[in-house]
Amino acid sequence: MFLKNNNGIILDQVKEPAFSRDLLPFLSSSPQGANSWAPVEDIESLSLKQVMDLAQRAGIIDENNSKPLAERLKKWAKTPPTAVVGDAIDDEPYVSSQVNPLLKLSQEAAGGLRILQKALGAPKAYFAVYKEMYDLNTKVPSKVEGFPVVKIGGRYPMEQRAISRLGRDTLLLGCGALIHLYRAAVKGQPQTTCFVTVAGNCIGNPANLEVTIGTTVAQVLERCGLIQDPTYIVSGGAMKGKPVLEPENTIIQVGTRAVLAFRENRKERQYTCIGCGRCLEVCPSGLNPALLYQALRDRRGVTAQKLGLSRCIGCSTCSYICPSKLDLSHTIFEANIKKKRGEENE
Amino acid sequence: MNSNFYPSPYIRYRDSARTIMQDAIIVLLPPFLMAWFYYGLRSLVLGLVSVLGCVCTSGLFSLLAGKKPNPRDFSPIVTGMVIALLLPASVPFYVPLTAGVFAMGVVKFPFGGTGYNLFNPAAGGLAFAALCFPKEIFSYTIPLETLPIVISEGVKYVQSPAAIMALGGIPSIDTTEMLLGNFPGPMGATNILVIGACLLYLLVRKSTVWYVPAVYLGTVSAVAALCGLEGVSAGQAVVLELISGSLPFVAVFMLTDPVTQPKRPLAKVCYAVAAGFCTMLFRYFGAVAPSSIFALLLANSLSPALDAWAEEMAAAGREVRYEGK
Amino acid sequence: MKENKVNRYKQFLRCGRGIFYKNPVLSFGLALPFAVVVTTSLQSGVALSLAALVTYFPTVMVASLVGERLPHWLRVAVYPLAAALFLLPARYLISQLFVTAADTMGAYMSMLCVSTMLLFGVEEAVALHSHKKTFLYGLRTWLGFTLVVVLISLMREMIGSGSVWHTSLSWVPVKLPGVLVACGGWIFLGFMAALGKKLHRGLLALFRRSEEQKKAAQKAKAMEQ
Repeated sequence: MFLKNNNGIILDQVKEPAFSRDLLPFLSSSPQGANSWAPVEDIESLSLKQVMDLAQRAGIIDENNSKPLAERLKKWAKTPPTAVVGDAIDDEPYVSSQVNPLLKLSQEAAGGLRILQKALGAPKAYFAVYKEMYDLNTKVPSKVEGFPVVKIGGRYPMEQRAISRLGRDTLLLGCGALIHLYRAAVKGQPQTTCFVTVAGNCIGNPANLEVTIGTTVAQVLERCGLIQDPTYIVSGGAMKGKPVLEPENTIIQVGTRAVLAFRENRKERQYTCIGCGRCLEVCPSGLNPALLYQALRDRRGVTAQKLGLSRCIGCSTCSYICPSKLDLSHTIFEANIKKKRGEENE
Repeated sequence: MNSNFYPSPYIRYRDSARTIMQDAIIVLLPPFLMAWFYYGLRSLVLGLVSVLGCVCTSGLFSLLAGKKPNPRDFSPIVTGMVIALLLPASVPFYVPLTAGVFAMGVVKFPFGGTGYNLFNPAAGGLAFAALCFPKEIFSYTIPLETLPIVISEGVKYVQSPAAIMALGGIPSIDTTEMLLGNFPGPMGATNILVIGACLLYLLVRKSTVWYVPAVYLGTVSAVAALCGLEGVSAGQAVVLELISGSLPFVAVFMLTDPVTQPKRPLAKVCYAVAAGFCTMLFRYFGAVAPSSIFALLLANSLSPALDAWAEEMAAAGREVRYEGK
Repeated sequence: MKENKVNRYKQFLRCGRGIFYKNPVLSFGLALPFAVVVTTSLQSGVALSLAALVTYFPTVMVASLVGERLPHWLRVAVYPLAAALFLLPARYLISQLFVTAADTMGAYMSMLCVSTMLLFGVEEAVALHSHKKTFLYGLRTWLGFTLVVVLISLMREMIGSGSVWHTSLSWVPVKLPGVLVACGGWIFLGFMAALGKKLHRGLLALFRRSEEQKKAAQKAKAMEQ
């Protein structure tokens, strides 16, 4: 999706202290190896078909879009990509569940990238990291195990822009998937864990955890410790995450990049739209969120479609900047999803 | 552990509607201080009367509309301050009261209240007051002569430079007087230095974009330079036009009001050009009236149309961009 | 139809349609320039309504008499001509009764021949197919027009010039000449329309509430027995 490059906002990336802490394991029970297989001898000589087989057996899922790795690689069977990129762009505040494993498990991540580069025959391979992180205690190195680390700068929302900026023929894969691919090749283990950041102003020990898939949110919060009663518990980033209403019954999946718990004073009364126009200035798709919100509230669907409802990517920048604290992004994006679902049903 | 359903995002920007309106009030205080320096305590009393009138009317109309008056909504205070600053310091108290009641009751609430008004309420109120009491609005006093709170017989009235120019004369003011506001005019609109500082504050706080006042002043200067005044050079004509009447105040405080401005940048530029052009038309061909205020009202009536046009251009631009991908 | 306050009120409105309900100026927006520009003093307002009576009412009766027999293209020319003919006595009447009103009305007096109220009314007259009904219709519409015009001109003169029928009132604190400009007139008309609607809704709500109270009282009595 081609978005306007100079729109958006610079967010305060409150990534410390979870960013620099070690990656802590939080595993429920070690897998008994019931379906493990013989490790591969020489990882650099694997063909693409062998890699896809491996990914399918190990059940590896890309955490960016929750799709299986084998399916993502199917597209590149005929023409190799010009570059394979390990995606460590964490552009939402508090979240560092791709960058932290990259830095702490760099050998495994680089190994995974090398496997893919050799299998696909891509000329270039590198890691991509978000540039606008200013409050970090550890410096992001410029090379990780021989692969260059490219810093991608730009305003939030960045992750979707990266795809268009890096070009259509690059393959962008999450670092978590790369690490699990390496483990599947070298240790013969399926993917049973995923990487999650636990942070927020209610958490006592914010950190990045490697948790078994299927751990509940409540267990993870207990592991890191709650110091206040949270107003919101969020699964996902602070900008685009979904609220968790029952932490005891919500499980963590590969696509859950973070679990955040915030406490906030919600006494500020909601004003009506004051017509300031800031939502317009920051929308990366160039829409008019205030007009869309008004049209949707008055149930004028045709007007909303003419205003570009289908272009909304749900980045929540408009709600973030709205001085009247209106729920613009939620209304618009939900309407967009409903319309798309309605179209699919027809 | 129980969290209610609140939708994303879970972090918000620190500016709220309240801080924006607080900014507007803060930026209107320096002109009041300068007015106190030039005209004495009466200017502050006038401001107070105007603000009280606006706030009471606004509360009354909220009740009529069936809503509880919102004490955190500072926009009637801002309107009251703007009305007071554009009047001469010697004006009787019923003038700002009339302007305030008209501004709240006719220009703001029938259109939907805060955030939905089509015309700038202060400009509308002042226009009505100018129609009702033309003599009182255009009799200015000489600055640095303290006025008594109740106007008695011994106050001298003079004409402002705008009126002198409309009659074909050339006002004689030297540069320091011009910058510091030591010439007759509306209470808050003469001090160019103070108004310039307020503009800088607004720009830094991102309450306004730089090109709206810039394009407005540019249009006015261009027209003034082209048409000129008899007996002075083009440059002097431009300077005289820019400082006289309520133009500097309107350019900085009222043109940049976000509610009545169009929202897209292209539309904002057209809006500023239209306002500048209309100001000069009113100055050359209109009867003696506060020209920039009437021009602002005309431009306000254009802003929804300009917005709709710019929205269509943006949609067309989006189609082109997405076609390419 | 049940005999209760709400229905009686609605019946009253329907009988007087054209005066309160379906008022030509406030509900249909006909003859707006006259209601806005001319009504700057009570004298002008009364003069306007008299002139309207002498031009509008006979033209409507003429339409009812001959309108059906004329082809459409001829009707368009006949109605304004008839109205212009009736304008002559109207002008004479006004200049005799009110000294300055004819001058203040200016071109609007002649425009009465082609006012939208007239053009709307003549076709209504043809559609009614009955002279008696047309007579009543014309009368009611004219009464509605007069009501609005007289009210507006009275208020505008009181607020704008502080006088009634050109004699100053002493108790008016401040005069607001801004109301006498056309812009102020439009605003006045808008507020009057809003007030009318509010009054109507308020009365309906009042009657409905009193009916409900009566019903509740009756039910309570039935329960006791």
